[in-house]
Amino acid sequence: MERTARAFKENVKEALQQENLAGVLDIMSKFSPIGRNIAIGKLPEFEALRDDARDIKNHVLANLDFYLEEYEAKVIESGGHVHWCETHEEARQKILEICRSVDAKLVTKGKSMITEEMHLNAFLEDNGIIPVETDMGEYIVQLADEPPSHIIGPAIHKTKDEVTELFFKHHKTQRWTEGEDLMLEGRKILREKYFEADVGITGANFLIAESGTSVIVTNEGNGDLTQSLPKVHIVCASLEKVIPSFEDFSQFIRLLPRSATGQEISVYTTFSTGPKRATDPDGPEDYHVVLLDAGRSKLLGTQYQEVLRCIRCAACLNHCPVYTAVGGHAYGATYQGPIGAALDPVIVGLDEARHLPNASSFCGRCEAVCPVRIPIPKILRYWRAEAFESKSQPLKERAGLSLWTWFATRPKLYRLLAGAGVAVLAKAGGAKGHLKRFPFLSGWTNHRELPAPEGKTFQALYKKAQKEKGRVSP
Amino acid sequence: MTDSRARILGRIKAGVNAPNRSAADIAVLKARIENAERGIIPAFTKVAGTDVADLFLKKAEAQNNTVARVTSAEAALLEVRNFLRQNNLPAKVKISPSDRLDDLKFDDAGDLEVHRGAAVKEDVTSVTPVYCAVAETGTMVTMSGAQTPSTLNFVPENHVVIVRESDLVTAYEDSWDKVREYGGGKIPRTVNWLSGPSRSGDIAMTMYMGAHGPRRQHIIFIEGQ
Ligand code: SF4
Repeated sequence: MERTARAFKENVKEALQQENLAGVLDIMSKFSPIGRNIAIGKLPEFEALRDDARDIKNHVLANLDFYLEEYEAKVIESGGHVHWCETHEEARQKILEICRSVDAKLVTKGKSMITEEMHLNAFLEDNGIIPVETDMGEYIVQLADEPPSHIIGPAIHKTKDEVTELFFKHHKTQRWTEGEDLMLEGRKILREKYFEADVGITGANFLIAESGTSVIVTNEGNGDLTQSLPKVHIVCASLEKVIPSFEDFSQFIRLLPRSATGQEISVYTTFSTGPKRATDPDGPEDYHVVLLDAGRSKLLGTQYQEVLRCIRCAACLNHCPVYTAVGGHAYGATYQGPIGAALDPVIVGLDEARHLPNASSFCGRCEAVCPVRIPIPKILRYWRAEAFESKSQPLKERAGLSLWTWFATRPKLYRLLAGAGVAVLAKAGGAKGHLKRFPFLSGWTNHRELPAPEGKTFQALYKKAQKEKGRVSP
Repeated sequence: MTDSRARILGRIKAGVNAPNRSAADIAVLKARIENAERGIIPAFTKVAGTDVADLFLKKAEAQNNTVARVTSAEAALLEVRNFLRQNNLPAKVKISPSDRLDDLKFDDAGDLEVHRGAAVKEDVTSVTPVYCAVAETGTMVTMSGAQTPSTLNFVPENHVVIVRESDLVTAYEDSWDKVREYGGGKIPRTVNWLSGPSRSGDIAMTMYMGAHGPRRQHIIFIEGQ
């Protein structure tokens, strides 16, 4: 079943019934903050770097046209092509056109959330081209015919047993039960694909204006094989990824892996500039950048602009009491967790995604951990107000009761959120939902620093809720 | 396409109030790129002398690289053989066609089968030089080029990297200065930062080595060179 953002409540209900999901989310919510805390504990400059990164992004956004034009000029100078695409459809057609130009049958793909946004895999399949995801997590969810459930851990919701069954079903080799064997099997299968593929598609974590360079940050090396072996490399990136120079990049790379996985540095950080040079013995002959807007340019100069600073580290997901209770699929849209709630209304429209900005306990953890200091709770409040004003909410929701009633009548979720802001939901609900009129909310969300590393209240409640399983109906 | 470009840029310019940008403002922006001013560099990278090598190797080991310290090119070649033997690997390597490996004298290596060039599927072990290496995180910087095919970094299951003490810089920013020196401002098709063997945490949130790239990355560090 395809989940939609519109069906958020139904998705949540379903998610809360999945025991396996609760288990993996429990592990993630415990370990991920610890890893991050250890990594940043060793870097006294971390907070200053966050300020710097925020300021760099703000500077770029204020001059985005300039940096994009500089970037484009450099890509062209290095022999590459830039394709500006206003919509997902335009981007899909451009990618198809490039694939067709080399008569592509098989396309390997590195991790790219932009291609998730545009549902590229289904589109390529419909057009007779086989897309193969090469990031191990993306590959697993592709086999399962599911969307990713976490922006950096796409298959985080899958247990080892589920991967065993999936691989066995699709590879028809042996029913491997050890993680190591499963990894080896995935490696073996995908290795063939890299060499067979006609086109390699990757995302981009950053675009560097100085030199027309795209950057990917990975641990597996799949992105590198994807982009260095086929004839054509297509980079899919959205507008706001551009930054001025390698020095600016150096600031971000000190934040991104630490925030994302608690690593000091990712295993592979890859900078690509144009196609292979005349004397190069390897590399793609063509280099294309599909530069996607899909609603982003409209955010500039608005109260939503700050969401464009996001570097997709997923720290806000890992620390979010709602995400770690319901998982990523419940959001029913490309991006999950707090950043998903703030960004999905841009990607799929506010009408479709109107529940997501409500999927927040306003505990403020997302903002407290965000490496580029995006005030997510504030942005969610703006969306809520806009949804209210645009009357895209049904009457019941507009009365301000629905969300609160809905959470309150679900004891398990209620318990999970109890320490983290149900009081706010109650107040907001009681206040007929027109949040603009309630300035006390800003007191709640302004830079709440959290007790590190485990977010005790939530964890304690979660454990309690787990113990009470059986007595607690979802 | 051109229409989309114009419309997107038009929306951006309207959103950021670009029409009010003066020539002087634009000059400032251009200078921002050209000057490539440095931001915050962590204090722990500010080391000198032999501490640079110690920091580099400590960080590299923390990222699951294996490390051997040697003091000469001859010893480095011996270490290549050791590595192959210890890991039960065939006595066969694909090496970068680079003059930076000349002093290891691979051609006189007797029973070691040596090939040069870009990687192919069958290659099991590669040996490459680095362009430079960053002590900050034990990161090796390689660049694609006629003498240094980038596929050698990713295709073989085992990657042996020859790092010399003179290759080391302390922070990322120093590596960029070196990269810019190389092509007079032009950078090669790909610059690769390698900070350890390939891994993935995508199966049941457990880290397994060797997802797609090398399962082993062995650094042979030549002191005093
Ligand atoms: S909003 Fe901040 S914390 Fe969340 S993914 Fe983006 S950068 Fe990371």
